[in-house]
Parts: sequence; C-alpha cells; structure tokens
Amino acid sequence: MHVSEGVLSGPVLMGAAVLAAGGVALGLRSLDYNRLARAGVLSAAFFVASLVHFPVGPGSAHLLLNGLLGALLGWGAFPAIAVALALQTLLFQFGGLTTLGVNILIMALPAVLTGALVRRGPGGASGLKRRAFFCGALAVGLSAALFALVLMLSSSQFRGAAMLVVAANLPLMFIEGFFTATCVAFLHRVQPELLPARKDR
Amino acid sequence: MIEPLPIRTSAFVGALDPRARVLAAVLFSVTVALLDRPDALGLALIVSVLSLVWGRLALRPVLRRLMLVNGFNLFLWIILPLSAGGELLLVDSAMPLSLDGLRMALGISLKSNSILIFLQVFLLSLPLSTLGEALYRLAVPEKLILLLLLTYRYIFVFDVEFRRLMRSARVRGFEPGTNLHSYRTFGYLVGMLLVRAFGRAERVRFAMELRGFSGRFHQIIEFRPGLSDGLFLAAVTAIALGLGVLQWI
Repeated sequence: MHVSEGVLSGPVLMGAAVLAAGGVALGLRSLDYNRLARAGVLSAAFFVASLVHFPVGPGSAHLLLNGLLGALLGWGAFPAIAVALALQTLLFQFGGLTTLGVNILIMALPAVLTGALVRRGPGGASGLKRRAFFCGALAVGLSAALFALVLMLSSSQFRGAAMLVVAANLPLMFIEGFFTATCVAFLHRVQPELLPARKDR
Repeated sequence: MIEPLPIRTSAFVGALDPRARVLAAVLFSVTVALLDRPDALGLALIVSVLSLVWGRLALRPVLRRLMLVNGFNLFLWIILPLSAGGELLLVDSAMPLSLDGLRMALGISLKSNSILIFLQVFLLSLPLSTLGEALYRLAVPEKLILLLLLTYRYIFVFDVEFRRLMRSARVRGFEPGTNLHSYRTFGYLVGMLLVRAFGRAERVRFAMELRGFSGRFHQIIEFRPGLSDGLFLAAVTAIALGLGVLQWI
C-alpha cells in the first residue's frame, strides 16, 4: 500500500511529511544504540516480508507487517518503517521521494497505535493471540483508511479510487490479523523475551 | 532477487559530488511534485529523459523500474475518467468520460515518470554507504543513517534466509493457497525469520562493539566538491525555477 509519486497535492504531501518527521524524531529518541540494531533487523524483516506474496482467491497480496512492527518497537516503528520505505524507493521505486513522508505516516501511525494494543488487555496465551489479531487487522484497516483520507484530501475526484482501496483491504485485514496472531503466538512460545512486557491497566 | 545499488551511470554523473546529487534529487522531486500544468510537467519529463541520456543508463532496466508506477497510473487512467465528474467527453455514448479525470491521469503519469527517472540517474547511482555519508554531511540524524545502513545490509541476508525457509517448507509439501493453514504457515515462517534475525543482530552487535564500534561507519572516500558540482547544482536550480515560473505565471 504505497501512495504513488505524483498523485497527491502539495499541501497534503507537506503536511504529512512534517508529521512523519515528528514521528521519526520521537522514535529515534526512544532507540538507543542497543535497540537500534534490533530496529534495523526488524525493518529489514518488514522489507523482506512485504515482498512475500501469498494467494488470496484468484489474486495475490502481500503482508504489511506494520502492526507486528508496532507491537515489537513502539514509537521505534516510525524510524524503522521510514528506513524500510526509503530503501523500497531506492531499490524498487515503490513510492518516491516526495511521497516518502505520507507513506511513512500511513504505515507507521497505525503501527504505533495498534502496537500499544498488544501491550494491554486480556492476558494469557489466548488473550495474547486475540490482542495480536486485532493489532494486525486494525493496523491494516487504519492504514487503508489513512490512504483513502489523503487521497480525498488531495482531490475530491479521488473518491472512487479511495473507496476501491478501502474495499480491497477489507479481506486483507482478516488475513493480516490471523497472520499476526500466529506469528506473535509463535514468538511467545519460542522466544518470549522478544515481545514487549504486558502493562496491567 | 533484490539488486544491490548502485546502478551504472556515465563517468560524468559518477564524478559529481554525492551531496550535490542528493540535493539535486530533492530539489527536482519537490518542484515537480508541486506542478500541475501539463506543459510544465511535459517539460520536466523532457529534462528527466535528457538526464537519462546524459547518465547513459541502460534503458531496459530503467523501464522495468518504472513498470510498477505505470501499472498504478494505468489504474488511474481507467478509474479517473469514469469517476471524476465535471465536464464530460462522449456525453451521448454509454460511457461518458470526464475531461478533468483524463487531464489528471495525464498529469500524474508525466509527474511520476519524470521524478522517478531523475531519481534513477542521480540517486540510484550512489552506493548506499556513500549515500549514508552524504546524508550525514547534510545533517540528517546519525542514528537514522545507521539504521538505514544496517537495514540495507540485513535485507540481503533475510531475503536469502526467507527463500531458504520457504524452500524447506515446499520440500515438506507446503503449497500456498487461500486457506488458514497457509496463512498460519506464513506466520510461522516470518516468526522463525524474526527469531533468527534477532539472534544474528545480537551476535553482530557484540562483534561490532568488540571492534570498538561507536555508532558511526566511517567513510574512506573523500568528498571533493569542484566547479562541475557548482555548475550542476546551479543548472538544476535554474531548471526548478524555470518550471516554477512556467507553472505560476
């Protein structure tokens, strides 16, 4: 889910870039050098996993992984996603330079918001699984909603395209949620110290 | 497979100071992103194509890299004329097309292609370590650059690792389909990738600290800005100003 180069209006691009820069600055402050290595690893995993296409009915889709990233890194998801998207621009021309800000915002803001979900709520292995499901699903849903929002803010002519984006992402929410739940449950069993500690209330 | 940077360019472009190239790419991208008149955008595309000739990029890979964005542009060419409204073409036919929608699709196509071509010539022709150093000297936060360089390094490692995991799943009879079993398997595969990745990150961190790493990769190449860099930046600035004038008067 990338906003393509050339689509959005100047004010929307600039506003989003300012917000994204703020998020990245906040995120960088939360990463010391020890956690930086971990963030680098995660953003690389985010990059690689987004290349993995899996079948959905007749077509195919790829994982976003932003909910998972938010769960593992908190605000650190902002710089991690920023770097991964910058590399996607350089290596594959997904998005461009001027859309970098808005693309960071679309992916990272839902990551931070839903990542916070994994840290609170019902405990136990099944509780964790449920929380992770909502984290992954909501992250995709929010990203699609933000994508539609920036399209509509840019030009009212994009209404049709915006609706299509949201509709196309609805089934992906379920898949991403299920995927995130499995992945988090796996990490919980194999290497629980990778997951953030749960905050009670 | 992911192709590592840089892509090959002419010696001319290669000799330009990396900082000048980064600044030029930013200046050109931002200016063109703000244009919306078709004539100004057409001119921007011409500038990009000329720089492509100047940089002597291999044409086929350039077009391949533009395929993704033009796939999306094609989607816009289909959806915008049907949904944008406003003044209509072919009013009496079964499928009236919106003139505004067509104009918009054209503008977006010109804009995206000219920006992405320009980036290929000047930004993608830098090795990533050099780009990191250039960004560092342009006052981008050090931690962010370190993160960029680490991520770049790991991308290739994980790409290979994930292919390996996927292959071993296939060998065991895994056939991805539209079912929960497949999605669960992908969850386990990515989980395993993360577990291995973290293990590797820890080992690399220890090894780097042991060798006295203090948070910065040092660049051995010296940057020597010269007259040609000044001329190049002046030319790009003049082009950006010219495009701006064409747009707003």
